[in-house]
Amino acid sequence: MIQRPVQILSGQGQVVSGLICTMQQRHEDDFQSTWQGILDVTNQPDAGWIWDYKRRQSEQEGCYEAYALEAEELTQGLMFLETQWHRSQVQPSSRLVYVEALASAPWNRSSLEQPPFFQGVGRSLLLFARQRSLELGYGGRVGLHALPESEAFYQRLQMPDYGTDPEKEGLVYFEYGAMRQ
Amino acid sequence: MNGSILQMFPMDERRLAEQFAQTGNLMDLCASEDWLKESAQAEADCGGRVEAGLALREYAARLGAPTIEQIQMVKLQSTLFSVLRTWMESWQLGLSFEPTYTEARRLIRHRLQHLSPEQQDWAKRLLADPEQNLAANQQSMRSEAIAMLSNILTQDDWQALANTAAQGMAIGVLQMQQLNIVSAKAS
Repeated sequence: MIQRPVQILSGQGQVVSGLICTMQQRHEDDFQSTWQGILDVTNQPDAGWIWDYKRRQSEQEGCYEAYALEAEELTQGLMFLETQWHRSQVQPSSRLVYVEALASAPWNRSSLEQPPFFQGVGRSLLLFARQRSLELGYGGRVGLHALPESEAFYQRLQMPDYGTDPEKEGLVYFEYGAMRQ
Repeated sequence: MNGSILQMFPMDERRLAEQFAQTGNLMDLCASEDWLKESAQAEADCGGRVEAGLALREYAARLGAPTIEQIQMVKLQSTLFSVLRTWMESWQLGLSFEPTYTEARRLIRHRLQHLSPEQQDWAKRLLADPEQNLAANQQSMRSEAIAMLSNILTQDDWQALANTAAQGMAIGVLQMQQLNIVSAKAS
C-alpha cells in the first residue's frame, strides 16, 4: 500500500497536510455518498460504478493503480492509472503511465464553490502520476485525455497537446514526455 | 494552443528534474509554498476543472453547484470523522482499524440524515466555526463530539462495528498466513 504525504492549500490560502494513498473502500464510499450527492440531475444512471469498478480492477490486475488524495478525513481527489499497456504517442517504443481517470471533489471546484475547500488537488495528483512514471522507469512520461472543460488546466500546466483523439470520442490527448535528467 | 498562457505556469520540467535528482521524490515540491500558490492559481484560473478520462465525462457534466445544506454536511462529516479517527485510534484495533473505521463512517453518515432537533442544534453550533470550536475549547468540544457520535449510533450499529472488527482481525490474520506461505515458497 502506497502512502505519500502532500500539502495543498485551503480556500483561504492556508497550508493543509494531506495524503495520497492507495484507494480504499472508504474513498469509494466518499465518492458514492458525498461527491455523487452533489450531482445536478437526479434519476440519471449511477456514475458510482466508475470508481467501484476501477478500485476492484486495481486490486486484481497489476497494471492498474487507484489512488485517493485525502485531507481532513475526506476524499478530495481520485486518480486511476494504467501502467503497462499504454505507449507514448510521440515515441511509440516508450511506455508511459496513462491517467485513465482523474477528478477533484466537487467542493474543490471554484466554479461551483467559492472559495473552494482545497486548491491544488489536481496538480498534486498529476505530479504523483509523474512520480510513478519515474519510479517505473518511464522517465516521467504521462498521458491522458482531458475532458473539454478541463483542457485549459492541462494547457496551463504546459502539458503538450496532441489534438483530438477519435478513439476517445474526440477528447484531446495530452502527454508529458521524458524529463531530462 | 495559447502560447502566452503556457508561459505563465508551466509544470517546469527543469524544476521537476532537479527535484528528482535531489530527493528522488517529486512530491517534495509540495513542501514549497510557491509551488502550492502556483497550483492554486492554475486551478483557480480554470474554475477548478481538472477532470480527465472518458469514463468521467457523464459524471463531470452532471456536477452542479452544491446547496448550502450539502456544503454544511460535507463540513460536518469532515469535522466528525476527524474526531472519530482520533477516538477510534485509542481503541487499539490494529489490523481491524481500517474496516471498522470505514463501517463507522458509513453508519454515522446514515445517522446524520436523521438527527434529533437537539443534535441538529449542536451540529449547527459546531459548524458555526468548527476549527475555532475544536481548537479553542478542544477538550470539552471533542468530548461533546464523541458523546454525540456514541449517541447517534444505535445498539445494532455498535454490534455491527463489533462484528466488523472481529471479521477484520480474522481476515488480517489469514492474510498474514498467506504472506508467510508466499515468502516461504519464494525463498
